[in-house]
Amino acid sequence: MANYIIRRIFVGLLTLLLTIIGISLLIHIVPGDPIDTFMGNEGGLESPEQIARIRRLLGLDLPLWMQPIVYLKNILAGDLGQSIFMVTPVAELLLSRLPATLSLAVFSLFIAIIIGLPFGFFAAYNRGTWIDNILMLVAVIGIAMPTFWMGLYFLLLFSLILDWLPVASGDYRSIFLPALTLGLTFSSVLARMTRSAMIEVFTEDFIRTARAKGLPETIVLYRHALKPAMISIVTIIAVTFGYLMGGVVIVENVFSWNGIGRLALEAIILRDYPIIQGFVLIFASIIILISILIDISYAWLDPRITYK
Amino acid sequence: MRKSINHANIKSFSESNSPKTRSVFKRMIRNSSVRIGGCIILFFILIAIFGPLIAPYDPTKLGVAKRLLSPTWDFPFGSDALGRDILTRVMFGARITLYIGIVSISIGLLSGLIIGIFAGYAGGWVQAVLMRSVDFLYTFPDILIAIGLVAFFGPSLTNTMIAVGISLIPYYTRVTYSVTLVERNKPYFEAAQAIGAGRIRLILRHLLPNIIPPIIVVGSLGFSAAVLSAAALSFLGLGAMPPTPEWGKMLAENRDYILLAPWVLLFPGLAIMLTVLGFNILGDGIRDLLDPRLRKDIR
Amino acid sequence: MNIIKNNTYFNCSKVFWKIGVLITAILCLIANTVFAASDTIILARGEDSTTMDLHKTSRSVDYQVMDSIYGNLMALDLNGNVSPNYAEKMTVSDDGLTYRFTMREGVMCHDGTPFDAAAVKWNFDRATDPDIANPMASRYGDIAESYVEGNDYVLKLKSAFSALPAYAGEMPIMCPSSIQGDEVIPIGAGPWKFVSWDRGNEIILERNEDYVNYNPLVKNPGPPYMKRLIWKVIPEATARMAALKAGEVTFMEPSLPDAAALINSSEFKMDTAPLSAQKPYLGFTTGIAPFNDVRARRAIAHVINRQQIADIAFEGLVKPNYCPISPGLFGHNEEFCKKHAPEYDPEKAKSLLAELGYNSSNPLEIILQTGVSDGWGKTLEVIQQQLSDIGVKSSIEYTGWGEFRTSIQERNLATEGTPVVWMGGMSGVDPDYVVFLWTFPGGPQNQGIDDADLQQLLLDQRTTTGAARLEVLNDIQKFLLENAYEVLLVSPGWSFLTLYKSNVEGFQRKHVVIPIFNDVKIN
Repeated sequence: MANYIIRRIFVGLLTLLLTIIGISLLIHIVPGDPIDTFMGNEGGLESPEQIARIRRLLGLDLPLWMQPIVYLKNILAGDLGQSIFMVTPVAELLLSRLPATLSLAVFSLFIAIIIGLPFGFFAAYNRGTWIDNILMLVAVIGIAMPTFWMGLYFLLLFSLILDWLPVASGDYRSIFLPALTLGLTFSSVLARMTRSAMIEVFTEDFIRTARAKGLPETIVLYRHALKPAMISIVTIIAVTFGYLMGGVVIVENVFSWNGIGRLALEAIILRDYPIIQGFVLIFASIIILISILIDISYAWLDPRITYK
Repeated sequence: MRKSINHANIKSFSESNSPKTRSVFKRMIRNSSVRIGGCIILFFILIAIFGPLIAPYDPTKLGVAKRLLSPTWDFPFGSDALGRDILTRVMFGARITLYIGIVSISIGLLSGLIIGIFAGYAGGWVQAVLMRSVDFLYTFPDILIAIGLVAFFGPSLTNTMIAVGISLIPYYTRVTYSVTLVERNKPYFEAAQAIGAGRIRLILRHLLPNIIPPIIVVGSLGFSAAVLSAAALSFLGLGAMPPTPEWGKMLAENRDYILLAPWVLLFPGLAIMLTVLGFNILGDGIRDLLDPRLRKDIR
Repeated sequence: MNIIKNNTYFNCSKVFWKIGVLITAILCLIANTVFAASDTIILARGEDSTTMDLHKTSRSVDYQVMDSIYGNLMALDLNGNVSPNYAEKMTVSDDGLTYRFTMREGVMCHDGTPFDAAAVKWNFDRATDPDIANPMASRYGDIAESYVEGNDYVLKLKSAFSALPAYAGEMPIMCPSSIQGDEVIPIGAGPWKFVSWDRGNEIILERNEDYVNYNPLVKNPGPPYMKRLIWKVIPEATARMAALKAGEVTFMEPSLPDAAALINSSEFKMDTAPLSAQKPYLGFTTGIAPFNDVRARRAIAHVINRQQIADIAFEGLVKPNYCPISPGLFGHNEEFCKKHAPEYDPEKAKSLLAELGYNSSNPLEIILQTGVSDGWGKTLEVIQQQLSDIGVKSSIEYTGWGEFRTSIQERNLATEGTPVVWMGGMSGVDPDYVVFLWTFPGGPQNQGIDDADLQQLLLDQRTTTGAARLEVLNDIQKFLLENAYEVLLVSPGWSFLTLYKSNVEGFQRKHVVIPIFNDVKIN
């Protein structure tokens, strides 16, 4: 087991390393001289001194092969570079907003789970009946609805018209609307995936056997269905979390939520490469961490996996 | 009542004109999901093709209506901030959406198909490296990949379509790859190989026909994902340029009017939702049909 | 792992639902009971500052905040004339080369260090230091000598610079103690003291209890009436509106539609920045045919309907403008400019294009381009329509500003490709900005005009004053208008609206849309 964990972490770190190298070469893949875009965002006349300063900040004055190495070295020292526009260390910018994004993601996931899982169970259990059809119809509609559209109308309804929920107080209350928007969308995704997973479990032979043995339905459900389903559910939650992180960027934009998603989007539009690099790094790390945790929990739930 | 899963029971679809295929097709038509989804899609395609011909007004001409008119007889969906008829723009937008979907799916699907089949055949470290990279990319939300691509290469409709297409490649690659692996291990495949069928022949005559059903499913689902991604990109300002009547762009342009004229955002959003819904329902329906396990009764 | 007892899971999910509803209800109740504290001003804007280092930025988002913290050397009255402020006297030598600023005695920075002539010298020196690379360096003049004499700061220039007084009226002065190594801690002598900056979220300032006012635009002779000033970032206009309605913010920048809807409301008041001195305008890629020919440029100018742009793109909240020198600035003259600008005449436009060989079988195809700003996308769409009415086909490129400037820089230098009509904007406290816009060789955004006479005029307006300068400025405007290098549109053009509830009084904006809060009271 320990062996397996170590192997997984090693592979994860390797992937991260490759990502870092990829990111630091990112600037060179983009057409045009990266400097030009920065200069474009300042008003006033740009002097050769300013251009040289930017070059130095980006590390562009180093030879190509050295740049990933320098970037890596800096990361280990905790230095993610300095934002061009905000003249602040990237690490400070990203880390100060990371909690906001994570709390939004977690709260949204929570909402998605408490709505989606029961829906999925219920639908799977009543498979084929009108209950199932209605639930799945609702779920499909939820998936089809564009997140930003739903978000705008929620904003309209709850903040502007009903005045129930605040938008900008910046504290815990303002998390509710964006989390609700994101959570509802992904509860639909979660519900459908849960339904498929539970159906698979319900159709297994051992379920029929348990029923044939005359066990009460509840015990059948919990002791025999739940455990195998846990693996699938864990995957589903992880996958949902991945999608959710993507949706976070949009929702942060609509609700002006001060997270890294909004920062990254602004940075992308402004071509503030240090921030973009830092964002990809942090994002990739989160994703890799999650997949390592998933694999470890798989191994814990089903020890056979470690032998692969 | 059928017995439980036994893959050997699944006949391959390579016997094209067998009664089996025809009955599957018949079953498809009878399946309500396929019918509903199919209807919606058909409606969408008809609007996309014929809409611009029958639309009442010019989609980009300013001031055909008073600005921000609420829905009336003359302007059933109302008018937008520049005095353009929203119904007309939604109809023209259908054509653009269809275009986006087709181009994105083509890029994503074809690339995914080629890479997936290649990986399924390659074996060894090539396969391992390829699939590991694809798996890694797959864990990234496709919307972020698309945003990154479009933001770097410049916002435009074309770039949006390409970016969305590229963002779908990991998904299609994985599907193709797993189907390839499954088919390769089947008896009939090995038999064909033993007879001496060449690789190309194997792929074309035996592999592809069996990939088609799952591909239709993911193609349909991918179409809806592409439409949503493109709309999101336009909404963020990274997609179509004004005055293109692309649905996501229409939502972005009129975002500030939500309090004054809430209906302005309603119809383009509904259009996106219905289109996506149609493709999702269709895809789900076909998938349910193809998966024999789900045909079983669980009680 | 049998954590679930004998209840069926249906009951479990019911419990979940109940808890969820309860939490929602509690949150909603709490939500309704909070308002901004009544001694705090909260202003919501769409972007955050990028820096507090005065000499590293030219962006108005930064200047708005810095102006509250750092005081201005001189002040500008309602007519744009220079008046005393922290410098109680400014004398200029007859040759216009020597400026003497006599500083008031006993003025302290927020940390107790003196705000005196030495501090002013430090600012001028640092602002023009090549290593600092200040984008606004040219506003400090071409410095020959800079020294302190008792209470006076003496500035000797290499050449006369008639815009300097106005710039002195606008320029904030940082206290030298603000810069400690690599760190910037904003310390000034202004009405507001820096407390904290939560990046991307808010900047918190508090009242400077020792502040004495000398700004002629402000009525309150002492420290601001309110205790705290918070600059909050809310990028979404709808969210800002929601925040204002809920009482979560005091001031905010509304979107154009919201502003238009509420302009006559009794519940709200709106400030439209009458001193904005902004001019959105159209420029051309004069290297690419046919815009190298004055007839093509004039043709475009002949077809622009400014009132339509003002009504449709800006919701009727702006007015047409004809002058390269913005309304409110020295040298702005509506009548004069209207006389020399190509008048609205679509037929004339068509015939000019026909002369150049463009007609219905060979239409002129151009690109309309600009950066994202409220109303600018619609402006391009309106112009696109106006152009298509005379047979000119155009496609629109509406992108982020960085993208725009990079693209324009390339296109302005190009001699081939699709011709571009781009929309830009400029504002300031002095017409001297025409130099920035049209000096040759140009900067990244403007390619400059290679005309010896114009270049001489640009230099001359710096060394003349009064009536003589007015004449030079008129010649410059005439040149720009008759040759259609600039096609003026409307004024103001961006960030000019502030919306607030009617129970707030005393708010005003001084030059270049900088807000002042000294007189603000909430009833």
